[in-house]
Amino acid sequence: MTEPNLDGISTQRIHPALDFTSDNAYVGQLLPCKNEYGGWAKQFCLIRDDGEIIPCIEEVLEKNGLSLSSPSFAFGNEWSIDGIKKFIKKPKAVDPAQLFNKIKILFKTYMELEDDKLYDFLTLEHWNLFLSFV
Amino acid sequence: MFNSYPYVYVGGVKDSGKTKLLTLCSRIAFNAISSGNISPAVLYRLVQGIRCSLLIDETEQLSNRYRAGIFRNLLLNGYKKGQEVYRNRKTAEGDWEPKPFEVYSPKMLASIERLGDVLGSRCIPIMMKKGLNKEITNKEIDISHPIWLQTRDLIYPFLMKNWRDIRKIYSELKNDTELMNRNWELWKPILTLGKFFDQDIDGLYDKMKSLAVEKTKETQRENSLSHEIVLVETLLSMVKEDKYYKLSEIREEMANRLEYGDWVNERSVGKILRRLGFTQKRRVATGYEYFLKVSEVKEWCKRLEISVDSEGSELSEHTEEEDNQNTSG
Repeated sequence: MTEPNLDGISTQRIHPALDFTSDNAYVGQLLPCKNEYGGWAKQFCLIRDDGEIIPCIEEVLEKNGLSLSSPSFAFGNEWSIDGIKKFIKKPKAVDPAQLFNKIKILFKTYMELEDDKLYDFLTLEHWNLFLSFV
Repeated sequence: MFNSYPYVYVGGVKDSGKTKLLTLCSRIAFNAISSGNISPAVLYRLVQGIRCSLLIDETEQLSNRYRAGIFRNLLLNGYKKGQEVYRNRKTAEGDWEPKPFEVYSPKMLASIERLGDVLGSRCIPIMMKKGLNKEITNKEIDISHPIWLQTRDLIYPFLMKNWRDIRKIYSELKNDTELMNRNWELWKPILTLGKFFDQDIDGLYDKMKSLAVEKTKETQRENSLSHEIVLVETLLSMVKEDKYYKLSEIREEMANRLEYGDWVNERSVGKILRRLGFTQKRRVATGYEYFLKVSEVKEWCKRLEISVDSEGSELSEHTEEEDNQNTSG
């Protein structure tokens, strides 16, 4: 007979694509991982804001006090493997103004808008597309 | 953190760059999906499964009525955190059971058509104009160019490092603008980010505040004009002779014409009628009635560029004498 146990392991439920808890940010990506036979296979992983990579395997997630709120599935590598490697080695600070202007220039290169404020708006809006789940 | 998310509505005439803007955003947005060629069922799963930024080119996607309904449902419900829609799903036993789908996700939509009032109130509009600078307008977006991946490779670490500060600004941001309620809610995420980047880019927050006020006023002006248009179209279909018309019937007819007309009440209709110069009214046992003249309705059609033929109306020409007789009785 199954016995209910309400004092069981408590885990933090996070979304596998992108999520923010009170302590950490997580981005889900499909990454090459060594499997139990010593070979390589792609495995869905969570990249934590401190540079830690957590493979989405039940035991590993549980060990990290996490569970997924939705099944994980890969959507191509939006963040390149090289980019992730650089991030986990030494998270280098990106200058906000520099990055803001880089994206604004992209909008200016391709779009002709009559009000300069709209380029700033679109650049911020782009950030919004990432941050709506924070 | 962001309890709601403003959609961006990209409007404008044909060839004004709407689709190009969506394409550009698809290169740098989080898990961007263009809505073309995706079945509605897959769409729900993508929004829930990868929290995608949904880019909807309405001119291409919403021609099919069923599809349009699905998108509208996603759009009307998906701007606020925690919103879900229920869809029936077949179980292993072959039964159907309702399953909730998360629909909150960032969305941008492009269309030549104006959006309805309800959907419009969830959007920040950008109206595109045909560009004059050929160097920019002819510049095509090479979607496989490495610049997009390089840019995203900077965005992710930046996000990982700065999300706490942004969350703090959002939770502490006080409304120091003239925006109210829904408009403040709509602009708060943008103003939060404006404030965050303002630490390095001087004046950005103030710029965004002024844009927010401009855009809000623009939308309010447009909405009020569109209500006038719908009311005059309503009158065009109702007013076949010069006489008193029940305000309740005008309201009902106008609400039927609006996509989501539940908000239309007699008070607001009366206000627009008076604004249009229909001031002669009386109170009877069943409520208010307004005296409406065919010639005046036609005059307003002309001013608002409403085609009289479009209603199939056969408004008769009235003489001034007839008008006087009707109003005096």
